[in-house]
Amino acid sequence: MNDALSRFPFPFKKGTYDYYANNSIPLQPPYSIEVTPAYQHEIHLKRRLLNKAHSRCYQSLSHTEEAQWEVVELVLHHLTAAYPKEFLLHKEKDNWTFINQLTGEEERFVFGDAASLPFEPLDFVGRHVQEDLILMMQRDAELFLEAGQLCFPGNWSLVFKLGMTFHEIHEPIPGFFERGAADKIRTFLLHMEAGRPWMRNNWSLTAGNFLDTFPETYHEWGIHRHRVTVDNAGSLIHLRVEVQKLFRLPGTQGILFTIHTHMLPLKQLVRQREWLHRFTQVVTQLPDEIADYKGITPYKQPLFAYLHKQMEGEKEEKNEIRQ
Amino acid sequence: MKSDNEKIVNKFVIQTKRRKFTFVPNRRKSIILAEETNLEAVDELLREVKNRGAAYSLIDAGEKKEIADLFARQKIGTYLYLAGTPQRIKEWTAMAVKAGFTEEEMQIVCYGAEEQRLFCAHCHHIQTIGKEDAVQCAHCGMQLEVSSHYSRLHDAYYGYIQLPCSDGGESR
Amino acid sequence: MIHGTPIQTVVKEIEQVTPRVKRFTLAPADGRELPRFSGGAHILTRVGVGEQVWQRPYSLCGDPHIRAVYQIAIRLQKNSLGGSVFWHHQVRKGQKVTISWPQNHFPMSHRARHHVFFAAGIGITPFLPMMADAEERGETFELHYAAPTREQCAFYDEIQSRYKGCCRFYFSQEGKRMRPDVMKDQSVGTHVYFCGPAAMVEAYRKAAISYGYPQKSIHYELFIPPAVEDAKPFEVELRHSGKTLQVPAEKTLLEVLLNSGVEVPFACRMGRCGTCAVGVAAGEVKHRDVILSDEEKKTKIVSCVSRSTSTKLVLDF
Ligand code: HEM
Ligand code: FES
Ligand SMILES: [Zn+2]
Repeated sequence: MNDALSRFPFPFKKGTYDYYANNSIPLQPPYSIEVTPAYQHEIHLKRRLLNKAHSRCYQSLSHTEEAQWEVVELVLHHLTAAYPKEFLLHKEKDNWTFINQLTGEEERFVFGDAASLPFEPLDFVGRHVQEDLILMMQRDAELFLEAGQLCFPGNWSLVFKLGMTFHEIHEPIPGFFERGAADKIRTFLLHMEAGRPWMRNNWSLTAGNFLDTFPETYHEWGIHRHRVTVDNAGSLIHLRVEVQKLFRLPGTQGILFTIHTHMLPLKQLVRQREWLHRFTQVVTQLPDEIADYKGITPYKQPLFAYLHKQMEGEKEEKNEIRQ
Repeated sequence: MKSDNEKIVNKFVIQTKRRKFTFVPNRRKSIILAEETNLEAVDELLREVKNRGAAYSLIDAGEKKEIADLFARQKIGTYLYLAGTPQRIKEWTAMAVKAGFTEEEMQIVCYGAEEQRLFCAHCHHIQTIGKEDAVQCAHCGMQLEVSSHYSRLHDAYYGYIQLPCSDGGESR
Repeated sequence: MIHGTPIQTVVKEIEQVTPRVKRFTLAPADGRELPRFSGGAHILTRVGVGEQVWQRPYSLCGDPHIRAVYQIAIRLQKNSLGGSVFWHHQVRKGQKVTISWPQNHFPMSHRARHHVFFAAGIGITPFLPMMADAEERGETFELHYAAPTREQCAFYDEIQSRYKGCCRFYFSQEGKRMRPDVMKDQSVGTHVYFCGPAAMVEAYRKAAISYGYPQKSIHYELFIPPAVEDAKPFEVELRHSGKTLQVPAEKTLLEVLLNSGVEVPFACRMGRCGTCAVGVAAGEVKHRDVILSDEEKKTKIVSCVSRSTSTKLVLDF
């Protein structure tokens, strides 16, 4: 496996995938962030998007400031603990200096004083990490999306989802409520403990190598869904995996939800024969309504034909070897 | 940071399907607030309340200020029955919530205008629509597919962008 | 730096607060700042010598702004085999104590118009930081606090001097009884909070419902007594893999499953959320959770708190 392939968080442990299970597992090591070789590129892209269309990428409600500072504290401590050469933090009482060696930046601010930062605390710290950062606040045994920095959405709108409860956020997902999954997962989240973070993977497919699939620009990237052929499927279609991590903030009882998005073109995926098998099984068994939801329906035919061809090709190779 | 989050935390989806009230017994007091007199739902409720000899007050849609004060004076155990058009119901529930009432402490019969608001996925403009499945955004001209995805903060349904090359349904 | 789980602390100070209550001040062993917490939070503590280990939840009763130490207050229980006796008689300054991060299953409401706290005896502890939080946010509250006598009323002086006018004390040996009907004439939007023995919490909860309080306006803290007291070892068989595991008396079923690589999701580890429930194919279960319905109890076990009373339990794994 090459480097990109070996670090890709391939989500299928076997050839079946229970869409409605709580697939969360304890996070080890307990860091909210990961720095990959794509760091420079993605940070650059993130900041360009933030500058170009700020409200699309950043939203917050009042009363979240204290929790935003908790996120700053958590993320900066994770960066310096996980990557001590790349990131440094000096604290003198509330006077913090954060040094990012990868971007060559030095940030000085007074912890807890929003006026000492150029952006809101969450917007500030999000500019140093590849992850999207979503802040859920827990109020009266309910979770609300109250702030977020989102540059690489899987076709969902931060502006529209702002203020929604966990259930309201997940309303578009087919079958999520009927099967009791929504209630169970919410109960799990409501009882999540500080000091015990969790992670899960979410997967989808994207036609085109776009991280920033905003619903606002669907007419620009969505057309590629109608341009897939057997011949270009390998390079056009990407498996999109979101590594999602969940942290309870001990002071404000909020939950930090971090999303790190990884993309892999199918032509690279199929080189791992075991991955090809599992992926083909999962995708071909996907119920129609979920395929619809994930936006796969317009190119289902060419995709299946492509996968079929790859599997066949594999058989032929084997036959050749046998002969 | 914008709008006070009380606005959403305490705002709830108004059930428009309820046509009748169901009397909830064993309350300290019932307050019945109706936008119009001689509503069937209210008459029926009044009969039930009187039959049982429960404490109640029937209020006509009066001054905003008076209703807000009335709500604020209530003790634990007061139950609200609200009947009105969506606009009125929104006003009243906002006042009730401000006074400390929760969804568990009221029932709503909402009638009248069947219009709804639609949020444009592309430009975020919100427009009022009827019962269409698809409309064009009045602001940016994008073709939108009306969904059942609703935001209390925006009081609007989500309109997904529809591509000309498709017959809809797959923008998700 | 961020602490791992669990956190190592040492006892820095011990004060006799009343004849039966001691306050312990815990400082992190490495001198780093402790995690933040909010009013109503508790920590799980682990103390003991050799084989004898006590794991107990205690509410944090110190100031939420102080990050150098945590404080807990423990009452010596009369008929206790366990934790409180060890804490009172064995724990000395300098003793090592392992603690969890602060957890809050008893948070204050954000939409309350007024908070009314009811404490019986040592049930006062979570309300100390809650009152501090409420005061800081400018929210109104009142405390009703019952104890046998003034001498046995922990933190009486502190509370009186800091929150005068917001609290009422009921000393039963002076013939004063705290009663639920204080809740009756409160304004709409009032939230009520109870902490004390199970019977007291249950009585107040029922009364609140009868006065018309919505479920979501009623809050209480009930620590499920730890299972270790009467725990017996048992064996589990995983039906699908055929694997057999041993659950010793001092470990929970959940711990054993996790240690053997069975990925059971969990959250509260206190029998409250039901996340860790697993299917039971055969064997008797003593249920200790507060979440499963009677119907579910026939086929499930909440693995963080409940145990088997038969020697062998077969799970649907
Ligand atoms: C608390 C933090 C969480 C937030 C903020 C969040 C947010 C979201 C959002 C915005 C979507 C897209 C919905 C849309 O298409 O409009 C989504 C999808 C989804 N979420 Fe969550 N989520 C959270 C936690 C979880 C957890 C813990 C689980 C499961 C254990 C979960 C399961 C799912 C599933 C299955 C989908 C559908 C994804 C797909 O098929 O592509 N979510 N979530
Ligand atoms: S983890 Fe919550 S009930 Fe076991
Ligand atoms: Zn528009």
